[in-house]
Amino acid sequence: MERLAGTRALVTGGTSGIGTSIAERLRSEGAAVVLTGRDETRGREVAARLGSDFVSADVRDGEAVRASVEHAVAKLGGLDALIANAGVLHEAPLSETTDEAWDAVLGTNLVGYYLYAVACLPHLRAAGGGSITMISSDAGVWGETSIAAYSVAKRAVNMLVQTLAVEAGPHGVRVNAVCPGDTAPGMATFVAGRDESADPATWIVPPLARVGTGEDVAGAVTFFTSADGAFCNGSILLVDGGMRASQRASSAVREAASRG
Amino acid sequence: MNALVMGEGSDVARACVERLREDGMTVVLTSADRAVDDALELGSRDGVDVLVTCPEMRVDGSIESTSEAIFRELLAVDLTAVFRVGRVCFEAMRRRGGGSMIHIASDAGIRAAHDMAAFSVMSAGVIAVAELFAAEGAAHGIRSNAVCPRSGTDVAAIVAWLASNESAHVSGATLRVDGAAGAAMVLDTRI
Repeated sequence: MERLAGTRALVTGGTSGIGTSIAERLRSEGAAVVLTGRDETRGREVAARLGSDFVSADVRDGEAVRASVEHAVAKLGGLDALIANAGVLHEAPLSETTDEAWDAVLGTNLVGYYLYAVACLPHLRAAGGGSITMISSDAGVWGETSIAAYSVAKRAVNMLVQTLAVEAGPHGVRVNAVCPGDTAPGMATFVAGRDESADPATWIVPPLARVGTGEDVAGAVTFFTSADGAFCNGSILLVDGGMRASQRASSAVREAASRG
Repeated sequence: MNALVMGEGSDVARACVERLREDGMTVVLTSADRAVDDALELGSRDGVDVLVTCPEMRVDGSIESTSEAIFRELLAVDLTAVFRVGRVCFEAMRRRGGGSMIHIASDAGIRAAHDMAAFSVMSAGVIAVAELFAAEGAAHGIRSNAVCPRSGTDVAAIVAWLASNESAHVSGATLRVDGAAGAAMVLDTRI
């Protein structure tokens, strides 16, 4: 089924992890896709595999962001969807977060999303409407001490989504957030000391007894981007296997196992 | 008791300074750009028992009407400064065996106010900062709370309460102080 035939989409941070899963799914649903990322080699490789286009951009740099949007719009002949996904994670409690880490996390995860949204809005309006989906985090709904700056940035992103939903909605542009929990491969695999081969079975898991996948997130993005999500605007959707459903959600699996 | 109040030029901060002095505290008023230096000095000299942070900058308008320069400035003044002074005071309070942080945000940080959109975004971030310091500080006797007034509301009495031992088990709370404006959406005129 091609729910996104004719949709022209820009996916930031599309060269790895969740971003690549999103781009793959959008392509399989019939969308034309441009990816952005910082890693030029990997970006070109992923784009070639998906039959999409790549533009190199550091989302912290306003000029680079605006240039990448112009590039994408020129390539695609317009723009119907932005998926803001490029993010960085820093593992530290707030009291041990350095200025450099704070600036990197807020600069990428908050300022970067703001920059892309503002750069894309005129094009989305010109297309007669469209959608922005921001990949946030369950940590934005309910913070985590071990990833403090990231939690702050994602809380702010969720508010950015809601304010944008109100100002863009009258122009037919819908703005929503997808809030993944721990996802493999995803942000958690980029944490120092935890590599791609780390066994997700050792992670604290939500009630669904597994970590999320890129496909789980891509499904939610497809829903928001397609006509199925036509009345979703300002929605903050948890895709976390139930991790934020209870303050003791992670113990549910162990309790179920002990009961047999 | 020594208090540091960040928010020079803010009426809310001024009211907090007056009230905390009435309650017998020694209060230093600082601003976002001097706060880290003042916190370090106070921490090494007399110690910090109470930190109050107030937003110093407010920007009206939509996200799209907020320029990159203004968005970055608002982030620096209203959110990053809160984190940085909080981090210094957290350490000073930890050495002292505890303390109370009161982070004044806005009702717009709880429910979006699209007519001051960027300020809404930063206020939401301040609430998260308050919660994260609370969760991390619990083991060290450090409390941290967010106070979210509608603009113009006097919150000095609430700040004084949160600074005192009367609120000893209140930490990580977000107090909306808006006369119920955000309690439920009112779409008709029957009330």
